[in-house]
Amino acid sequence: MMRPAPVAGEWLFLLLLRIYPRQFRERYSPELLDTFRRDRRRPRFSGHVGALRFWRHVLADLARTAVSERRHQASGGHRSTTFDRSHTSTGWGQAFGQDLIAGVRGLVKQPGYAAIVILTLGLGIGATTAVFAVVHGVLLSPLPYDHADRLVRVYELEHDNPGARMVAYGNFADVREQASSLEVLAAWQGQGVTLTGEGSALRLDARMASTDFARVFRARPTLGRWFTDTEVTQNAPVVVLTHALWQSAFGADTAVVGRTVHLDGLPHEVIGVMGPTFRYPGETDIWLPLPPVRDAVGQRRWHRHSMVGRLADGATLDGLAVELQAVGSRLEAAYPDYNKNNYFEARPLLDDMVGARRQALLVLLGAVSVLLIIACVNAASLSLARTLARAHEVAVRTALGASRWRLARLVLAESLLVGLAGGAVAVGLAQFGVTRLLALTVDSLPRAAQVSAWTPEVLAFGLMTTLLASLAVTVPALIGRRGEAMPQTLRARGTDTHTVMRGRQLLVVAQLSAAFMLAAGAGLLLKSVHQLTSVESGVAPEGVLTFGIGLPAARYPSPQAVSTFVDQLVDRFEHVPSISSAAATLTAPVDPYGWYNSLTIRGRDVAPPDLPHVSYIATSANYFDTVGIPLLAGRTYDNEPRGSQVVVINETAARQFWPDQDPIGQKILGRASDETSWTTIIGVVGDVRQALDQPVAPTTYIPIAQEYVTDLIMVVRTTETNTLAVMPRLRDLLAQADRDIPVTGIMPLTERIGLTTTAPTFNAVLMSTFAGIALLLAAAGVFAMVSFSVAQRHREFGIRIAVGAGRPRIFLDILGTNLRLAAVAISIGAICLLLVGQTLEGLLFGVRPADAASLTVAALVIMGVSLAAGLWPARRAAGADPLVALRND
Amino acid sequence: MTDNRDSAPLSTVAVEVMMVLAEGPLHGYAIKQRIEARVGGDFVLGSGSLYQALQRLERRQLVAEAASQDETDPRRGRVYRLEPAGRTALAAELGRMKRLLSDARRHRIAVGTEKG
Repeated sequence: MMRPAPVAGEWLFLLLLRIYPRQFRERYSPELLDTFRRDRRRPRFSGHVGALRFWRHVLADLARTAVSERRHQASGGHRSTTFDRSHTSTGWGQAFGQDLIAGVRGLVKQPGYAAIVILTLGLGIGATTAVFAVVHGVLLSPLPYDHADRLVRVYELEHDNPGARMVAYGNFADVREQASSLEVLAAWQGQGVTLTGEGSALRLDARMASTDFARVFRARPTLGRWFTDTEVTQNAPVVVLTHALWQSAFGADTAVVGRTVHLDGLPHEVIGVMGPTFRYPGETDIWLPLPPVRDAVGQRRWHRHSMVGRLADGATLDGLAVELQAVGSRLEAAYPDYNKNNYFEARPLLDDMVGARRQALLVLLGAVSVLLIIACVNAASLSLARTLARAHEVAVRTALGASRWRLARLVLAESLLVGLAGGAVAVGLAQFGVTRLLALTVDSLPRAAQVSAWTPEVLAFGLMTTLLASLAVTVPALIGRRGEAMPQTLRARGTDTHTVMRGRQLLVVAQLSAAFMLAAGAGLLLKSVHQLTSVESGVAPEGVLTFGIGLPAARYPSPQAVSTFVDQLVDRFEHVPSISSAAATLTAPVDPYGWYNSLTIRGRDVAPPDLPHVSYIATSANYFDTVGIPLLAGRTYDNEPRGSQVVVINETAARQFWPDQDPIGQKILGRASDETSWTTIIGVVGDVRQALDQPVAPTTYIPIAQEYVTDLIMVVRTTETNTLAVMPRLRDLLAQADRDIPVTGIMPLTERIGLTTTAPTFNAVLMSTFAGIALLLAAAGVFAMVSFSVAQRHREFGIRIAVGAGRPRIFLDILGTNLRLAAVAISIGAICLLLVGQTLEGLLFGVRPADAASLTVAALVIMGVSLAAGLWPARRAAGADPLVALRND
Repeated sequence: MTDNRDSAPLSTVAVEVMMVLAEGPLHGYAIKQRIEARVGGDFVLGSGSLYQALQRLERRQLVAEAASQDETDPRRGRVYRLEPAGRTALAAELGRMKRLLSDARRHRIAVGTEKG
């Protein structure tokens, strides 16, 4: 039976084995590899830490035995019969050491070459490694849970309502029972609570979770325990803390279990603290029991929960999908009023968390790889040029007896030195790059905490890339050496360099095409961002400050209580001189995660499952004026008589549902959906988008007094140029009104809206950076090539000038060649771009991949760069003194 | 061709290898496992050290490659066997160590606790 082929780390090991003498290697390599594989699989070497330990052990063993092996051989091996000991394996190590020293000396003699190549490679390798670090951390590294690839999110979706994703409790219970592919299924629901009594009041992200929630992740508490089934079904006042909250609010007090804490004013007992890796969903601070919904109607109607589960042993995602389809059909038949058009879907958990960013990240990785190729081509080009420049020296050495093999080793040593130095520079750049990348994402990147330049995989990637880049420097140098025959080069300079010239032109064209692709990509992404940010949001956000407040249910138990408090607060705020108006809202503008409600219009007979859905926002009276939503018809609510039920709709709702009539005066059903909650439409306001890249949803606005909400966002319009300046005053006023209300998420409305463009901006900035560096490198490449060409043709130019051919003609000649090369490069680049254009589509907004404007601009940039880089050498050529040129031969 | 390495003393690893092989022929990885089990604790024997020792033992003809017992499993690699010369060398080594130990005891130099 054949041994299986080597895998990643094993290639590295095989490479490292070359440290051993040839005889030893030849005899024992297969066994050494076999031992390597087996040891790698041992449980003590599992996981990331284990992998590091394993490699440390391997490298230490290598170092120890290789050294002693050398010493052994050096002291008692065969005596060499030739003077050049470098041919035998015994003196191998020492000879290589000599080569390295010679290499260093050679590079030091020409520091310019060394510096440029090292920098170029360092930039390329560093940038690529940084992006890989992000890709690895976000997309590739496994989640920190036991067998995390078996975890799935399950959604309840509606065919006619794309915004719906949550499950109703009764449906959750049925899926849990009927889907045997799931070993365990749990549900959760988010909530805001205020923690008081541990320092200043804290607004916490709480999650109510079902009994099995911890079991899904196989998470164990570090202190105490998780909820029992009884505690969950009876909604006992118990809580479990996350590790993070335990450290930040409770000072990692190990006696915290059993303590009483106050949430929204009500006492709860702390029964456990979970471990540091378990924090799902990501921002959870504290867990509460999720009591089952007992109301028969509510069980099927209130879609408030999210589900997460673990696949059973041997079950597959496809098997689960089939089962979910069956469950969906059964439920549709059993509950036609509530479950019609509903279906279930499962997604792997990792995919759910990062899937949205996957495409963009992979595209960026592709782009930075292109940049790396440009850098390698540059380095290769420089290496080739240097080799040719030293052809004379090489010929002399050969004449004096250095073997071809020896000279090749010199080349290898030099290239390796340069490559490794580039790698060392890359390490620093990669770390810097990762830091900058994370800062750029502004917390919008999922799993950002996993991104680090120092994980084994990233370091291995960096090493591999360095070795590849070193190849780029080595190969041209070796090829360059090969063709040199002694007599020719000793006799004359400037021999047939036509092929070399062609070769360099080819490299330059490759660089320019790659740079064109990056430039075009950057142009497309930048245009996307511009399109996105110029979308009309529907509000006038300048000068508006927002912040969130959470009212404890115990002290504000009714919509009236909330509304009264809000009115008083708004009144106080508006008395501040620099504040022109203030209001409260359930959902800020341009936020897709608001509430939805089904729309029942009085007098229209539509079956419940076929009802359309509208966005549902509760606000205080002044809201529209404060954020700048125009009133288009009727009026907005303001001091409505107690008990009245009014509603304001937006333009899209008016157009969609009352295309031929005046919506004002029509009646629609509120959220309670019983006969007493008919609301009257009193006005129509302008559209506000939920998301900049989505069409406007039909929206209904109601006064806060008509709906019970405890988590509100205050919006305050101020005349101050720096909106944040009014915050301290507002905090004071809020504290005066109620001391225990914490404030969260303070930011200007412009910034809040800007959050939705963070991801596309990140993509655009990155691609532009790559394009910028690529253009720089390509320019350098062009410059070098033209200089070389001019140097080679100096005799020709000398003759032409002496004969009387115009100097401008020479100048234009050279630049003409440049332009031709640029044109070829642009054509190749454009074709390649069209081929990969599909992959870009997901990242663009309002722009097609074949956008003429962006491509044209990119083409002009490439031509410009090509011309500019050739300018100086061309001028020198045209300005040459013919006597000098002709004499130098 | 003899070389002056023949007269150098055997390394600790080489002695361990010979002791394991004294119980019967084994292939490389099994030797490694046995040694690690014998030494105990967290000890992991480097593969380079192991095969270096094996090479030296093979060169001195104290250990040789045995024809594979199991023809159907060539993946496992070579099976090594302790040669008669090896048994003699091992006995000599152990004898040397025994003499050292009794010398130490006689002169009351501490030798640590014996683990039964």
